Amino acid sequence: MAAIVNHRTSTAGSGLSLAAPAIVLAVVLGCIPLAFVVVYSLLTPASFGGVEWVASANAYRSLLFRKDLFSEELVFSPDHLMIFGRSVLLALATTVLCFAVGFPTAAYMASRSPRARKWWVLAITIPFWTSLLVRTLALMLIIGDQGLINGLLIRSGLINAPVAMLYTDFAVLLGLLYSFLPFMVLPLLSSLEKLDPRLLEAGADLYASRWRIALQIVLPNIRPGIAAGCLLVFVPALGSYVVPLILGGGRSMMAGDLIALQFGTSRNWPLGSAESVVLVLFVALAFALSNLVRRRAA
Amino acid sequence: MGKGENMERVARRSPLSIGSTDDRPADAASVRQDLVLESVSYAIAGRQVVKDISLTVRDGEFFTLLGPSGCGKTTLLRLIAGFESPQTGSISLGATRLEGLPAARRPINTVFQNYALFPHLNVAGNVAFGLRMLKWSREDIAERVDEVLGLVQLLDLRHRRVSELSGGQQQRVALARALAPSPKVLLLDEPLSALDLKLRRDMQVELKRIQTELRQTVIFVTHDQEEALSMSDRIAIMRDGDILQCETPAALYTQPADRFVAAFLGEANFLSAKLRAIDNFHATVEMRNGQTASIALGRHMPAPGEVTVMFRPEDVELGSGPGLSLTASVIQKSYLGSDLSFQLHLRDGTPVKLRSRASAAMEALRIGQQVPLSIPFEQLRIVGETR
Repeated sequence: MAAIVNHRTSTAGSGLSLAAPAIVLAVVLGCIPLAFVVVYSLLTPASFGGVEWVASANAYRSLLFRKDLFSEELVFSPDHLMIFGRSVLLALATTVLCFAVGFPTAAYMASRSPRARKWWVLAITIPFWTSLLVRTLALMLIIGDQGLINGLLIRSGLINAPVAMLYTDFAVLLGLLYSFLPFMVLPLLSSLEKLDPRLLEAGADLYASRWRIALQIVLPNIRPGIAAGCLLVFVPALGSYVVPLILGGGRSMMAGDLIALQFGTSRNWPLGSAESVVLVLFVALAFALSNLVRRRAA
Repeated sequence: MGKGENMERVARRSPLSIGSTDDRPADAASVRQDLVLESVSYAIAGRQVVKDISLTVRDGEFFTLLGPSGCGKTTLLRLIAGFESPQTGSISLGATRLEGLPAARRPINTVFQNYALFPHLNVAGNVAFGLRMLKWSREDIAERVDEVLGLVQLLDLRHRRVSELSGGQQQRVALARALAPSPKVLLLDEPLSALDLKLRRDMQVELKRIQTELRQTVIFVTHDQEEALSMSDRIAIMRDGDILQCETPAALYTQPADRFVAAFLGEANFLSAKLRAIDNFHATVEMRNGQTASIALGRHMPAPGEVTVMFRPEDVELGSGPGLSLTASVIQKSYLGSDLSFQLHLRDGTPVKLRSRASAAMEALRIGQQVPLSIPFEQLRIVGETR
């Protein structure tokens, strides 16, 4: 006991120095670039990219308004709102879908023996061995008009013409689901592993069906895992760039594409920065929500 | 038997019947419902954990499964609860066959060893859980929860989180949760093992009071022989998946069938002897010291040859007297409050224990001293050698 107390106090004393490398990393790689983004969003765009050091709130104004070409009047424009709204909706849909697929998967894995579970975790993480780009292109080959699925369906005589799957919202959702599913499964699994199996038996003993055990005993007791999983899926899905671009065919713009556009073709760095700031705010909101869930669970 | 029918029978009992089981409705539910196990066997990974067990637990009985850890008593309880299914044999409750029914459809509730309270629900929520699953109305649930919490004296804590409760309080919540749906049989899996000694003694009294008040059929699993002796109507002593003997506590203590039972319940001395003659009621044996003793036959029918004679430490008297006479030297002396306990050795090294109220003569005994001992013949028993 005394050893534990000593250990505690000594960690508390040296806590700051132990955390120093992490703090330095967070400041150098996180806070400083973010500060740049915030500052850039308040400057004037230079003609060929970059910024001129003239303060201006134009970038933020153009998130909601555009200047009329002739009268120079400010006119409300919902373009940005639509794109952000679409991104949030798609990220939410991805999160829900990942949970719907990830929870049964994690529940199945948790019910295996610890040995078998290790293999399942390995299987879940194998896709990470190659880059996201390669995996997305592979998915393109599978769902394309001349792809694996359409090929099989046509050869089996079920359909005559290929079903359009690529370059649709379905393709984007599928791609996002495929990319982020492990981020949902792993936190859920770690929560489920901590769940006392006797609670499930107690539920069955007290006349609960399997369905009600899942809803009324398992779900409430793995809320921290659900919050973590949803956050880990929602946040990258919101800012995703590669998947919607390749599988969506660039037909409908997402927040990620939009930001990339401002720094690239449009050469409007302040606007791109302002859009990034908005995206960061959405992410912060998601964090706050998930923290709320976790705190209520504790 | 369908789920609906079963549930209905549980629910039909008036929620008010708890304090006054005398006025149970005179329908099917009031018919005596004994729990009957017939030739139940269960093996896991090729190992027989429960070996061909048959037993009957009578309606309203406090029945204890007692045995060392690993004897199969918890597995037997899980078979009755429905968490495992037996490979062979049948389990029935009254006219209902249970072995095909999942746990959720058996009118049997369990108090788990670690309580397994739902951490996301408060005290009342835990107690109400089973009733909610049985689709009781909101008012009925509220009434029943109050009733059961009153029974375990936890009404004041109904809104507490279970993580804020002490071990004893959690134990009561687990008991209330299992009692709330008025189960036909209440299963208790070492429910007191996590409590400290004093609390455990209090809870024993409390549990027995509630069981008597409700005339609740209880199957209690424990490895604590004192707990079993003080609470049970009947005890089944288990070892290696077998029931060795199943009787009232007094019968088990005074008439153990074999060496294991004698040693597991209380303390016992064993001497070997030769069987000389046997009739319908008595066996005549010749002890090692040449003395012959006539011993009333008990649960064990001795076979010719070597037999084991058992007697309790408290039946050993200091000094020579009628009965079996022995001479032993004092090895160790321990003070037990009201009693004194002695370890002695016979000349051939056989250990003998003596336990008696402290007296001047007892206090005077010194280590190494040779003393005469006597045991009345009527306190001797012939027990079997445990396989």
